[in-house]
Amino acid sequence: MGTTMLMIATDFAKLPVGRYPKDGPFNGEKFRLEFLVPKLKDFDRVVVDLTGTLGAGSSFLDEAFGGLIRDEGFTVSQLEGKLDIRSDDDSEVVQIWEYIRSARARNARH
Amino acid sequence: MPAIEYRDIAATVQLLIIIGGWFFIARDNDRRERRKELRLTLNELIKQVHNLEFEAIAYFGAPNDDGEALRTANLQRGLKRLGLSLQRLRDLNPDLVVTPQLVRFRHRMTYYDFGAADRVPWHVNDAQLQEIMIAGHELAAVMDKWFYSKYDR
Repeated sequence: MGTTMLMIATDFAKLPVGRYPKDGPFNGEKFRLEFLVPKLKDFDRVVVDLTGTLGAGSSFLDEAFGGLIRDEGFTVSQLEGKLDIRSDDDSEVVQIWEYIRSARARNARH
Repeated sequence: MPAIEYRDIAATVQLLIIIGGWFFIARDNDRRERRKELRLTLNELIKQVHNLEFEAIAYFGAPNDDGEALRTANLQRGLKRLGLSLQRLRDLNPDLVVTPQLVRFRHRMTYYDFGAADRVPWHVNDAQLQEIMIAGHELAAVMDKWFYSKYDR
C-alpha cells in the first residue's frame, strides 16, 4: 500500500493524445487501464503528475480520469481520497477534477 | 542666529520637496513601465489565444489526413505553452483569475473527437466551432478586464 507516483511525461508519454487505442498508442483508455487502475488498486494514494508533458487534450484527460467513474466503478469521494493530481499548470488539475466530478457511472466493472 | 536657523529650515524643506517629488515621479514611472510591460505581455497572450482558436477551427474543419498527427501535436503544445505563460502571470499577479476561462477554452478546443482516428470535418456553421470562438473571446476578455480594473481606475 502507501503512496506511488505516476509521471505521465516519463512513465507514459510526453504527448498523450486521443481516447481509444484506435486513436494512437498513447491514448486515454490505455493510460487508465494499464497505469491508473492498477496503481489505484494497489496503493492508498496515487500521485499523478502532468509536469513536463507537451499538453494533454481534453479527450485524453476525460477518457483517462472521467473513465474511472464511468467505466471502472470508482466514486468521486474515493478518488478524492486516493488521487493527488499535480501539474506545472494548475488549470490542468482543475480540468481533470471537472471531468471526474461531471462523469456518471456507466458499467461498473469492480 | 535666527536668520541662520531660518535658512537651514528653508534648505531642509526645499530638499524634502525635491526628494518627495523625485520619489513621486519615480513611483509613477515605475507604475507606467509595469503597466506597459504587462500590456505587452497580455497582448502577446491574447494573440496566442486567437492563433490557437484559428488553428483549432482549421483543424476541426479539415479532414483527417496525413498531417493530422502534426496538427494535433501543435495544438496541444500551443495550449500547454499558453497555460504555462498564464500560470507564470498568475504567480506574479494572484488577483488574475483566468482558470475557469482557460479550462473552458482548452476543453472546447480539444474535446469532442480531438485526436480521434475517425474524426470527420465539422461544417463551417457548426455550433461547436462557435463554442471555440466564444471560449477564446471569453479568455481574452477576462485578461483585458483584469488589466483595466488594475490600471485604469
